[in-house]
Amino acid sequence: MTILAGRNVHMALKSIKSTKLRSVLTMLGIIIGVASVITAVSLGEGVRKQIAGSVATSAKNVLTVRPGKLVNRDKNGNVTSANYQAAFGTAALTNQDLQAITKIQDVQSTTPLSTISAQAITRDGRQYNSIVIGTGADFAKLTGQRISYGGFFSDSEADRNLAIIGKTVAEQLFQENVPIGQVALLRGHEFIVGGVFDSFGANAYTGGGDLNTAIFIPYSSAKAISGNATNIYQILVKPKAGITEKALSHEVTDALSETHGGQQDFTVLTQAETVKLTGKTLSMLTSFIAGIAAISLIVGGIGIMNIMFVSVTERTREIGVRKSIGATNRQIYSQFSIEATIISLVGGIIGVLVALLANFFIRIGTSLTPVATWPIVGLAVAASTVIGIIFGTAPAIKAARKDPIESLRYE
Amino acid sequence: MPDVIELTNVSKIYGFGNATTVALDEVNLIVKKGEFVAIMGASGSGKSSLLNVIGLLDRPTHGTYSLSGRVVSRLRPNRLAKARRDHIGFIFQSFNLLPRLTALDNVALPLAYRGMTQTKRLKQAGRALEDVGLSDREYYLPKNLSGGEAQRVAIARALVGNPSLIIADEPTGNLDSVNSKIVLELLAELHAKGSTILMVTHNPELTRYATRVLYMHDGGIMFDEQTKIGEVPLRARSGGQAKPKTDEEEQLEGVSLFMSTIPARAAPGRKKLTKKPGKKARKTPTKRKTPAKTTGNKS
Ligand SMILES: Nc1ncnc2c1ncn2[C@@H]1O[C@H](COP(=O)(O)OP(=O)(O)O)[C@@H](O)[C@H]1O
Repeated sequence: MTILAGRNVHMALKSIKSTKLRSVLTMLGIIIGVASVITAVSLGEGVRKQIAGSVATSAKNVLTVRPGKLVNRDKNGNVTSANYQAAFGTAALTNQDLQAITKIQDVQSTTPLSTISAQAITRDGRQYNSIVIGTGADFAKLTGQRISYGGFFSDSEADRNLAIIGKTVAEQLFQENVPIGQVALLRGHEFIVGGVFDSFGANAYTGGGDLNTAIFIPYSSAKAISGNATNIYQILVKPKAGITEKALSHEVTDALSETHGGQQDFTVLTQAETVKLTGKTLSMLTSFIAGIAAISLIVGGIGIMNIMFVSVTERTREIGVRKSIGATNRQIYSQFSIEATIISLVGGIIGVLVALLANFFIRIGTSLTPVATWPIVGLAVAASTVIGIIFGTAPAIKAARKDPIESLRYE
Repeated sequence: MPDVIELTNVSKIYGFGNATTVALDEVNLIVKKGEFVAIMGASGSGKSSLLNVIGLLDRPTHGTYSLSGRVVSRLRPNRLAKARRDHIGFIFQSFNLLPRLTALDNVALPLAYRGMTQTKRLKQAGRALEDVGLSDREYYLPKNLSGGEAQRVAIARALVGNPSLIIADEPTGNLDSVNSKIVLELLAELHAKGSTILMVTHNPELTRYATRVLYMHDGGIMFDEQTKIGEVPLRARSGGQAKPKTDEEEQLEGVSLFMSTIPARAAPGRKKLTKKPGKKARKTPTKRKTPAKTTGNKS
């Protein structure tokens, strides 16, 4: 049997080689499927690692308060499950919430992250649609985000019209790398650029946007120019020295329950929980995308089945000859089955190479760092093999069942 | 030593219900080891059906077939394939080499299905190619071989596994006279070494290599005569007919026998003519004979 399998593999390789173009076309579905599954998953994995990294580099001991009931907790306050619908809810945090937290004894400082709608215009009339975020002086410190040029505003500058901008804003709006001292108009108010951020990686504080395209201004200025119409999507809370996150999180929860009339439509997360939750959301998203990509694997399998059927018909005479010289149905079956399996296995391996290439280009072309892990690569290759076996079965059975006499007559 | 072939009342009936065709009608035949049997007969007379049954590609509808002393007429397809692999070597009119394999690989293929190791079978295949005088063509692909060479490779493939029986179905049908001669000399050589050969031919000249000639007609063996090697029996020349014909149909049959025999003598121009009958035979003769042979029309 092993001799036979070896011979069949040899035969299959020969047959595949002699119809190179067709074989590659047949493999295409599998190649695309495997490549997209791996790329999707390694992107997700990369972002997860980046977030964990960003938290590791930022200040420890920070609570995050977010609108909506994002998690379910057990009696002991441990997160049991994420509540994804809430992430898309309409709940928001208000200025009152911010004040309520700030009043708590054990709180050292609060840093709101709020968005206002404003378009940035330069003096020469260039416009740029950026995210405008009103925040506190501790933002850079708490998130561990580095600044390439200039500096972040301090507490004492909290009521001045200063703007710290993302890298992309500098390039797009001001068309220079270091536009420090330049002026941007936000809702008709002049803001002076005081610093430019280093490139933002994916991190737990983005709130979904690309912070490289964001303009950061002091929260009070944001309130002032928007007529108090700020939209707080996150509050970072730093406990006083000696106070644990856990303890403070209870206090914050109690304080907010009061302002919200007992309704738990907000979430207080410790740093560890933030990372975990973001990771969970990400892996859900990743598996969703990978699932869609996996469908193309199935489509690839159907493609293999199609071509194998064509090939079986074309090689009817060959089948007749093989049978006449003593091939059993089983031997014919395994010949075609092995051929289908090899096609999809090779397709899978090429798919892995394509994915690694794609990852490489994503790495050098964007700020993302996709990470292809061995388990997912192995899984994708295994899946493509299984698909070859499954979708090769029907054509192989058709080949094995051919009548030798009829087949020998086939032109 | 058991006879190589022993057919007892073997019938082959195609179709079912009231549209059946009797392709073989209670055939009895014994072929001993070392015989070189030529089979002649018009298209539709049942030659292919007989070869298919004897070559284990098909099972008889009725009757018993013993191959080298073993009853094989009721074997399941899997056993049938294995018996075919171990006992039969086929030579076809159209060579039937696998186009993607080299001559050597083609010859080695039957051994692969026996599970022989690669080195062993290539060695054995090399010897078989040597036997047909084509050692220098081992790595040629079939498309680079001449017709005569291709058929010699096919012969090597048929004999590589030392089969009990070599079946040649119009082996010279696609060859010119020179190559036909080479191929037949090769078969005669195999025969001289002790092989048992069964050959269908339309060319009476070729019967001179045989030790026995069967004439088929309407699914039966009409005549069965022993001949000396080197002689073409008279009956073969006349297309196998000696039976007096009375009705019109039988005469038509005779004409078709004549037609399929005569062009065979004019060697160069006959390629196309002989290639087609295999196909045409399936239509015209069936139609012509159906009224006489189908059970449905009789009742
Ligand atoms: N697969 C088949 N189905 C129905 N009839 C067949 C089939 N094969 C052969 N026949 C019929 O059986 C008869 C004998 O055919 P065949 O053995 O091919 O004769 P020959 O080889 O001498 O031309 C013919 O009447 C032919 O039409």
